[in-house]
Amino acid sequence: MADSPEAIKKSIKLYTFIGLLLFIFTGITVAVATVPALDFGEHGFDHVDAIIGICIASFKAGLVAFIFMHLNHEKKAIYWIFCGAIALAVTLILLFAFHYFDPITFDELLPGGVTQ
Amino acid sequence: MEIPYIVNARKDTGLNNSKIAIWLFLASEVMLFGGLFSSYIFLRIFADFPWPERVLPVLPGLLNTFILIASSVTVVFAWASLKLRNWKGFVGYMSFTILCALVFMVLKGFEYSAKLHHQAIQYKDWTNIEGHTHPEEEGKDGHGSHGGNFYVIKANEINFDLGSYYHPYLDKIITRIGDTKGTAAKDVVINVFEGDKLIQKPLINAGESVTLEGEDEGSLRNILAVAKESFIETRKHNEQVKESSLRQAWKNVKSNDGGRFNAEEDLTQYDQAKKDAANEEFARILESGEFGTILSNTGLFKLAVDNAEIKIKPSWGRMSAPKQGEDSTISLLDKTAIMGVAGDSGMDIDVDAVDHRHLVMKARERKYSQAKIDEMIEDWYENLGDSEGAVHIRSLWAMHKKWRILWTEELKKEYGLDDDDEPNRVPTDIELYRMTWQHIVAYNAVAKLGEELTLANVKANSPGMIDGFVGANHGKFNPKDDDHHVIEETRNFPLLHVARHDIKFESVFSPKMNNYYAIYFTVTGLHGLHVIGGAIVLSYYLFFGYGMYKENPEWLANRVEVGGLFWHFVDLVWIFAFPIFYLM
Repeated sequence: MADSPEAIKKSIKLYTFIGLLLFIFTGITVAVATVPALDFGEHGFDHVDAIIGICIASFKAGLVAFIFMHLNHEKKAIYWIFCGAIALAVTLILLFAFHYFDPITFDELLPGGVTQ
Repeated sequence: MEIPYIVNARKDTGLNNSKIAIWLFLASEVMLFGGLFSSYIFLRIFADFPWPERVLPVLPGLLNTFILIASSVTVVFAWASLKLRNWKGFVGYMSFTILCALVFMVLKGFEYSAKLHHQAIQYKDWTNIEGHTHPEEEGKDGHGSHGGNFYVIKANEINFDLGSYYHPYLDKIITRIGDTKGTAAKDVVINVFEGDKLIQKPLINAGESVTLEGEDEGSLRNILAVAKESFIETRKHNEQVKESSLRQAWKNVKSNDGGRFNAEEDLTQYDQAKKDAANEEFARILESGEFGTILSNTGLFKLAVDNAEIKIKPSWGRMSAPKQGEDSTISLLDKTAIMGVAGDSGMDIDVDAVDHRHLVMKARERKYSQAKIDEMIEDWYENLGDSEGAVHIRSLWAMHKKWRILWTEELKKEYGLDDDDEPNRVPTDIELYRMTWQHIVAYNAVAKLGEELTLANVKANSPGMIDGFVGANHGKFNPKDDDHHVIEETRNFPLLHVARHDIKFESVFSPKMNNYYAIYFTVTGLHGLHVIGGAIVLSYYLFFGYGMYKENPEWLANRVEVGGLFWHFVDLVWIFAFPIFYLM
């Protein structure tokens, strides 16, 4: 943790820079969704735009979490708590997803290629 | 009491307790919002309607993103100022942060308000139109988007359910009936209990007139109140008689089953036999009047009225057979039934968007050909009738079809053909089948100029982000005079009268509208509550923190750091919510 006055003064510059970066990436998110020349994948919204949008959002969220919320130098207990929660939330989403799109199929295992 | 480890770190975790606490809380928040975002994903994947993608005006959302990021930066600045023992700096940065929270909520309020005043109507053929409904010219009811949205019936009989009629509904019905006379349609006899004594007397006979206004004897409110009391008292009496009789019946059967049932019988038969015996015993006790007699109880008051025109908000109940001139019934939520002949329950709406995507989706599910789909869409326009608005809307659609051809050509020219000679890029379904308010404004402008429609002049005449800050701008493009009537010379959005029996579903853009708006309001509403909560906590540090700053500045700095962590999390949620709801 940046606790000495010098270190804090130094990190203020970093915070300003990260703030600017967040502004710029917000602009980029809107641009890829609205400017036709930056429309990747099919014309209009499709999975490519979704992936790009979520990637930019995750990058921005990472900046907020690591710099503003000081996760870049934090004690172990915090990582366990926070990352554990994220892991649980993601697991929950995946479990729901597998309920609908089961990646494991048993078709080949059944004798004679009989499907269930 | 001294709370341990508030300022200094614990040896085992290396952290102070407040920090552990806030991170535990944030962990629970991750799971809460994670759950909500995952519901969004599944609602969208399995939506049985065309998902309203990229329909929200981007500018307010974008501004709110900038505002939250800026406030996130200033909240760390406020914390750093405390660490550097700079109180004035802390006050400045913290005030700015709280101001950002306020502006965020004000913008959110504008967005919500625009949605809650914007009406959508789905025709029975799945075509959707959006717009502003016309205010009725009567009092408060007619103001805003709910105006003009009524079930209208020429009532000849109203049945009030004495157990459940609801006073605000009754008051509204009485006001609506106005001067029409009412008469009782059936005799009403009431039971009055005076101690143990029961008196039965007629309250009103069929054909006797009922005063509608006021609460005097003989007025509708008074008759209903007296009849309701008798109904409830009688019901209570009857239930008591039944309960006591049933208890006695079971008592008798249980104490006296030795000789009556065969112990060899299997248990099911034994149980059934016992139940039958109890029922028999119950009937016998009721007959004997051991615990009193069952009284007849009037549950309905039937009021005959003479062709009284009554208007009811659709949210109050359901209307069967709403076609004008047909026999119809409006059943209210309090079980009041208004019977009569359906009046003109149609809605007047200034149309600012027409969307055929749902129709197209349904037609594709049925494997209809493209020609058939186009024909179905044309049919919708043909069936609109010959009103000025219908002619206007048909001319707009003709221009939109032209624009679609030009746009398809343009994409082909710009992006070329692939190896199979198919165009690399084709217009989306939204572009093909949704005529947005920007299109409508642009087509009107082009028609007024008398120019040939081109992509360039449509683009040049389309309203920009500022004009449509929170949605279709009726104030500018469909202005009204002082009497709230649209000025016809400057009208952009055609006026349609939609008959009630053509409507499959109608709603303002509220959570009721569809799953998209349900999850949109849930996530952004919950996020808004977090913004308000965070602003309250940060305001507390700002306005009540000076004492602590003088005494123990490090403690206040720790508090601000913890509050700041929550604030960053609020920003973090919005960083995902903004692209997901506004841009995808």
